[in-house]
Amino acid sequence: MSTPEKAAPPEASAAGATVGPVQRRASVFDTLRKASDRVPTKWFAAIGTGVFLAATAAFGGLNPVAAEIEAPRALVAGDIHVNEQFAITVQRAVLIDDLREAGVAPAPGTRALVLIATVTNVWDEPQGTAGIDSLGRLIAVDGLGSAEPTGIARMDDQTFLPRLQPDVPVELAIAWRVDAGAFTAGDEITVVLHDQTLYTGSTVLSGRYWADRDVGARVALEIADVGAGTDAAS
Amino acid sequence: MWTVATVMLAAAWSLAAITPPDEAAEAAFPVAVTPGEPAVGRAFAVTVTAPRISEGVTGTSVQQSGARWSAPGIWLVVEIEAAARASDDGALLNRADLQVGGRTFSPSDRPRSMHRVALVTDVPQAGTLAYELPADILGDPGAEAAMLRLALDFDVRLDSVLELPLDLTSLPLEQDAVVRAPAWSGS
Repeated sequence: MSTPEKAAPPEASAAGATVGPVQRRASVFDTLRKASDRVPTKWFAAIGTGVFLAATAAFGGLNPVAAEIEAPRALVAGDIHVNEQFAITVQRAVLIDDLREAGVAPAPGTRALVLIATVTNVWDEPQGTAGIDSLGRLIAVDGLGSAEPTGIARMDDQTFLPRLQPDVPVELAIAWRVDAGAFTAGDEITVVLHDQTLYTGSTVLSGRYWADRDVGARVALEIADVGAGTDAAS
Repeated sequence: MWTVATVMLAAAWSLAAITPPDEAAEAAFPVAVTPGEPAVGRAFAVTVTAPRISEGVTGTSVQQSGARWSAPGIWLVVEIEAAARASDDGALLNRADLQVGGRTFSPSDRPRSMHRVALVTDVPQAGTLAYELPADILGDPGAEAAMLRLALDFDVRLDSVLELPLDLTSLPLEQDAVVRAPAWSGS
């Protein structure tokens, strides 16, 4: 192995006068070749593995990416929950015979479970309270399955299914139709508030939409029974 | 060799620089609106007058069948007169958005107003559009360059959009402006 190396320099210097730049480039590769010739072949695998591991250390190692999952917050009445769409404060829960203004007309054997909540749209576009990408998709009550509210109305002027403007706080009555015996005064219920993620459509979709519903918070409330109600939605 | 490569690189870079973005293929066609003058879009014409900021508004309620209604807060109130052109098939004023900085507001659905009014061919209707705004809107950096955008379809891609720039901070201030429901304008 050493004989070709000793032979190379005399040949290179003999041709030195006419091939100057070529000779410089060749000697860089020659140096590399000579250096790698000195390393035992079986070491290359170990060296390659070491270089690869060292390179991954620059990017956080080989650990799988730790998903950022926060446990849902446990809240009580009056606590505010903020996600990317709305800031919601559930004030109280009442049981009432009916709430026409919020879409629960009187019917035998059923009552209305109503949450009074202060909601602010914290996104940059108006959002509705019913339908896709709306507040109705984000509020559920444990014990009613995943039923969306029967109806939502503003407390101040009874507007049904209002559209919420950005950064304007509104007090809402959110009503579900429930069986008359399902809840009683003093029962504790859990209101589940969901969070969604904003996606921007590309290629085949246009516009922005919300998806990936996760539980963001659970609010524990005690139900008050107002019977038939006096001035129901105020 | 190097000059050819440099020239080609420069040409490629300038071509990339002047290529319109992907959204340009679907951009809307803006039509400038001057207050008091009719502005004509695809299949509808609108005259916008008297934009003003009002503290509190009054009107008639949508929910309570025309009962008197009022609300506190900061509102943008603007009078419009609108009619369809050529055909009123499906001509509703579906988009009448106010853009302030990064936020978009739609006309309030609380009072009876020109919000989503059904337009009639060549028969103008006059009324008010009212926008419920957050209390800090006049301090928003975008308040001086707000834009009112009117269109027949909510999806304005490849459609005409009537645009009225507004400086919210220099509009007249009023108390309890009246939000008028659509009425035949008689002009």
